[in-house]
Amino acid sequence: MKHVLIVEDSKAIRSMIRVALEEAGGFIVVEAGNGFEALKALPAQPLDLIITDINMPDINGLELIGYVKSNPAYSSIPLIIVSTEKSEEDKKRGLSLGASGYVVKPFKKEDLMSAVGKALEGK
Amino acid sequence: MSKTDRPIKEFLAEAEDILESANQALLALDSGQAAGRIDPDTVNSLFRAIHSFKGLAGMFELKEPSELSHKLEFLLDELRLGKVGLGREAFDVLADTVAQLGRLVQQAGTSQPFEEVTETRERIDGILRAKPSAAGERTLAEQISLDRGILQVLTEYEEHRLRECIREQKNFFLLKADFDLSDFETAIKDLNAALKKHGEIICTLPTAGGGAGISFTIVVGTTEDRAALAAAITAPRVSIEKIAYADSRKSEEPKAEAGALRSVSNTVRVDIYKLDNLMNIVGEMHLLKNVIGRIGKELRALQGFTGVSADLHKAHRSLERRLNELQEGILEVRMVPIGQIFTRLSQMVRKYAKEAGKEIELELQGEETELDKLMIEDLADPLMHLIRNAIDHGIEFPDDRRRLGKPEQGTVRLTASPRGNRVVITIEDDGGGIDAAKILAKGVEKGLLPPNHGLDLERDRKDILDLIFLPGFTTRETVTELSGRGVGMDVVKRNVSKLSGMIDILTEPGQGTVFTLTLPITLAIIKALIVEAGGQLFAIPLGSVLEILQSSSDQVETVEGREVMAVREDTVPLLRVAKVFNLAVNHRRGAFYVILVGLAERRLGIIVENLRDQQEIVIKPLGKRLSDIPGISGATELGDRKGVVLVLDVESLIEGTLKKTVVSTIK
Repeated sequence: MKHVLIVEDSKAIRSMIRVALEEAGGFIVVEAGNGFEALKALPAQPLDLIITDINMPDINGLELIGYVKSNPAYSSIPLIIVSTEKSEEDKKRGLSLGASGYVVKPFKKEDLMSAVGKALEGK
Repeated sequence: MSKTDRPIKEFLAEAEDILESANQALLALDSGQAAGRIDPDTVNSLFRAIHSFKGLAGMFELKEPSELSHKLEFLLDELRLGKVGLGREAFDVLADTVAQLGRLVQQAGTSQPFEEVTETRERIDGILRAKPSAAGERTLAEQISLDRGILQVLTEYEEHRLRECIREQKNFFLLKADFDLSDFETAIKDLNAALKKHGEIICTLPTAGGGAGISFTIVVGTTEDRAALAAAITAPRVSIEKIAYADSRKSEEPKAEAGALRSVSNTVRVDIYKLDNLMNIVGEMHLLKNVIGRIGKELRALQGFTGVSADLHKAHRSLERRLNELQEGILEVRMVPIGQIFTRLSQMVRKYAKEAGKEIELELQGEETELDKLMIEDLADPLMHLIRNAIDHGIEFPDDRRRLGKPEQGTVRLTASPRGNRVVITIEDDGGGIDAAKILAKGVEKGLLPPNHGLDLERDRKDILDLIFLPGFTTRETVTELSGRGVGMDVVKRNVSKLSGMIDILTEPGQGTVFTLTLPITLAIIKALIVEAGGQLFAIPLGSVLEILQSSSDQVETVEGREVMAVREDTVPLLRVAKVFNLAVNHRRGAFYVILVGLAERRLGIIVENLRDQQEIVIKPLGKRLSDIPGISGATELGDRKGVVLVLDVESLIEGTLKKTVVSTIK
């Protein structure tokens, strides 16, 4: 089983991602509604993948990626950004910070799962 | 992931939450804008709300909500990045779009088809097109000595805020805060809340702390100094470091930048009720002026036109002139171009035309005509209704129009033009016109007229057409979505009357219909004729007075039980004020004055015994219990110890005479 952390401030979208992963099978999902919750969730269990939104209050997705990638304990965890196509500049920054993939909202289940597959392979 | 996967309820709950917070942000923006200070945090929170909404709508595959929120998100992004300025127009578009998103959510909830969003999207495009071009800027690293690691993780928005703070020459501080992993969340939130009171938080970057700890690097932009910031911090393990500007620009720039801090516009936004209050004071001053005038007169009577009485006369004159200037000044401030509602109306025309399956072109003319702000707001509804009527009942379907040899596209023309102290608004359509015979038949059917009404289609055409303004009259069997739910022309007429306006119909079967609204440009203060009838004083708004005739009993004729008088080629119905209000008539030599009021073909001669004066009056409402008395629109004071004087409601008197015509014909 792979442990996946979903960081997303929309509850409905969070649960959609969860459903997609659970339907595909083989995932244990941890949810975080904002950056702070994500920071708390990180040390709570070993993680195989992080899926994060960019635009969130307090700590944004890029700051979270920066934190994960600069912290030896988590730097090997692959990250996927889930955000809207408007954030082209932010997407570039996320990828340069070390995110493995990018999924544009609204997304199809297949696109999300293919990004998840690639991110886990690359690990 | 289609919408069938997940219940729509989940969408509704979250969408409503999001819109609630969006509306709160809008309210804050509105008052912020009024105060001339827009909080970037509020714009950002609105952006985030709509961003979430868009994501949500997209996931549920709701086309219209998703498209519209997408567009709105784009606009908000440009706004928060400072690429588009947040002016009044942009704000209106924001508010309207959020309101429409609310309706779309409701429509999703009740499984109705979504309303059209193209228009709103086009409005947003309009705002986006108007944006100023962004000037090239130096990189942040060139401007401020901030660690590259931090600059890297800023989102585009945070970067924009940083640039803005640099432009405003704020002081920057780098805070490092260490917390225990177990309880950092409340601690950092408290710290951020405290910092926000003293400045703007550019970013909160988490960094790994030693052992079981976590650190945050916070960048704050503020106008305050280090000591003030330090005093605000209660958390124990926080260090503050000043971030230096990268070059010497700071020292030389404040002068050049000072201009940028000053607002570009010279306008202020004022609550209309404050102006109302000022106008009331002017009204009171007019009363005082009248008192002074009367004292002057009495003094002159006592000692002739010399010394003190002459001085008082002069002072009274110049007081009057200054007061008039003051009044005109305030009136001018209240005036706004009527184009404000025309634009709103034109947006709705497209929507209604589409719903009705008709092709309609709306022509606007005279948008620059000015009217009192308060009146403009109250005019929106009646105009909307008249336009809906033209679209629904007036303009024919394209097929029918082709058969009639008319262009398939119908035209609705909305014009406004100033006429002295009045504004004339017309709503014209090139549709089928109104059939007087049908109106008459309907009037009988609805019990508004007895079968033996005796009205002649030719001779009494005007009176027959006026039937459509009576309560309970509607020519359609089914009340359409378009012409409103049970709201009839009587409501339009009442609303126009409330504004001391008059409404007139001109219609030609097969050619079209013109509704003409004549309104005073303001209700705040008006000129009135003070007359005497039945031993009492009344005020008649001068705006509705056409002419004043001196007359006597032998000129009055009685036709079909009503008093009329020949005025040149016309026969004008008469109304005795004393009789209307059951006052004892003073039959002095059978001589009296006829005040001719009205417009176009609708005229009325008001019989009064004496003319007293012409004055500026401020109409005050009579209070709830007396508000429904027909023929009286309010009361005013004249400032000459005569107490309160009633103001005649000319429109309702004309209407009353019309009804009486009908009633007298019935008898």
